[in-house]
Amino acid sequence: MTQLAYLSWLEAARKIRGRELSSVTYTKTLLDRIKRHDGQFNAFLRLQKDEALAAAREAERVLASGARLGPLHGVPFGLKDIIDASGIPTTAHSKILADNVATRDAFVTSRIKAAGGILLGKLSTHEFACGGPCFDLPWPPARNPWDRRMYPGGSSSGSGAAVAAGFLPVALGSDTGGSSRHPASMCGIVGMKATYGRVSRRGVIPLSFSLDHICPITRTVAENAALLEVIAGHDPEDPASAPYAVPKYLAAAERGSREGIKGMRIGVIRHFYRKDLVAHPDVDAAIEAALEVLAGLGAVVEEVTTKPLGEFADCNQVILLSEGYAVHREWMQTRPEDYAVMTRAKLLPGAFLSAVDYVQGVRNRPHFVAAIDQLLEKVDVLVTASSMDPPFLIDDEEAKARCYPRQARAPFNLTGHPALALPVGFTEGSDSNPPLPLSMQMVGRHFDEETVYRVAAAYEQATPWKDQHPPLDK
Amino acid sequence: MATTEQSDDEAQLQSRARELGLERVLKIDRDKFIAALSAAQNLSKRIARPRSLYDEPAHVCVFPDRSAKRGDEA
Repeated sequence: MTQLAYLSWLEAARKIRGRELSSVTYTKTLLDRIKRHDGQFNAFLRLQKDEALAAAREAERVLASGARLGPLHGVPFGLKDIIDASGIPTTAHSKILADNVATRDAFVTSRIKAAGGILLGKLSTHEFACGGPCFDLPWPPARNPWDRRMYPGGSSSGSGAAVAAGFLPVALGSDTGGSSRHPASMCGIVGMKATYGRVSRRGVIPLSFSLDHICPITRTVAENAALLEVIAGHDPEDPASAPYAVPKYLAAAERGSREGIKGMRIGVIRHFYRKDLVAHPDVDAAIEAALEVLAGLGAVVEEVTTKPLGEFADCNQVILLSEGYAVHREWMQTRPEDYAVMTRAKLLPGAFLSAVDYVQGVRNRPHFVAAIDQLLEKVDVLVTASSMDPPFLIDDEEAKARCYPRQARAPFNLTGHPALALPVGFTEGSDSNPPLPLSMQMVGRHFDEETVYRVAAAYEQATPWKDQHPPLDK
Repeated sequence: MATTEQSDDEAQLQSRARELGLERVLKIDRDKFIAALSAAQNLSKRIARPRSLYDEPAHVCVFPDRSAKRGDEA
């Protein structure tokens, strides 16, 4: 049971293709696990049990006929509930859209279905991918599988919790100021925000048009790379979609595992987590240990500096709040009571920013892009913190408010560079407090996700973190 | 005197809410309305000014050369 729950989707797909594993058995196993445990974690907003089993039976029938749909043939997946799947509601975890039934698949949904994926359900999010975790919504917030008292990160909370808990091998999230990398960091898994334009946003409820990204969330780097390969690519219906061919990301990750990273250059932006903000000592120590591993693999690690983190964060905020309020103004005027208190508070500053504030932010943006580009002229990837703190109690209001600015993810939404969060260890833990995941971030050049995956896979192979799972079965 | 200032502040707040169509928000969540106003004012002061008169906004929408062959179709 546990073995199937934590089976890599690449291995599951291989076994399904080879008729060693039935897609129906696999799907049933995951559904049983969700039934047994998700009452504690609230990862799912909606489970498509009958539809998923029917799709699994169909996947087996197709396979028996000698055909093959694609790399995800017979493999279950989940969607953050801001991503459309035809015929079922996309609620954005909000009372406002409780009855919003999608009439068409989002680009990414259709890509995964075409590759043979089986939609298991829609996953919990912060309301409209903003604010949260909130307890005054129609559905409760997701909780952290490592310790259900803890926050799982957000806004792609259900995606992170479900993948870490072994409910699903893969899920999609979104990321506007770090919303996929945050749950990946808090849940001890892998979240990739690819280059802006790499993955279509069509059919996904917007938060901030120029900062929104759709992201693969998985337990390992190779699985993440392979899933990005499925969802990336040009979409003429997304005006920001880049018309570039999709590289072989899985091959890049495998190259990292096979050939290593000897001689590659890694720049560390330490001032983000030591000066501009001061990370929790466990986070700092885990990143330093990870850098030693990278150096031990033959990489050349050097410290680099850029603009202060706060300048990136402010520019990101002015754009996010302005674009976000443009999406929400009408509902804020006509249905303010239907938002959670926290979501309303998060969106409201956008009402008071001027058009000039927004334009100044957008005029400054290219300077931030250039600042990161400049660093990446000298190094292959950048490393910095993702979250400044380990997971905290989900009902600790002070910690919740503190966590939003205590991160170094938003700079890369602003600049559009690919950024991946991956596990780098655990807090020590005690009898009453289980160890909790720690993470770091790797950042690459625009449209060079391959190098990020290569370095991340080499690191992952050299460390034991990917084999650690939450204690659900103990 | 203090009472006059308070009523001036209140009138300004009501006027701002009216301008923005947010009277209901002010009514149900006065503290957060004030906090949001203050947060936006601080953010507006804090964001860096553009360096040059010629700094162009980062445009989101691009107009691709439709005659060019797209990578995915290559």
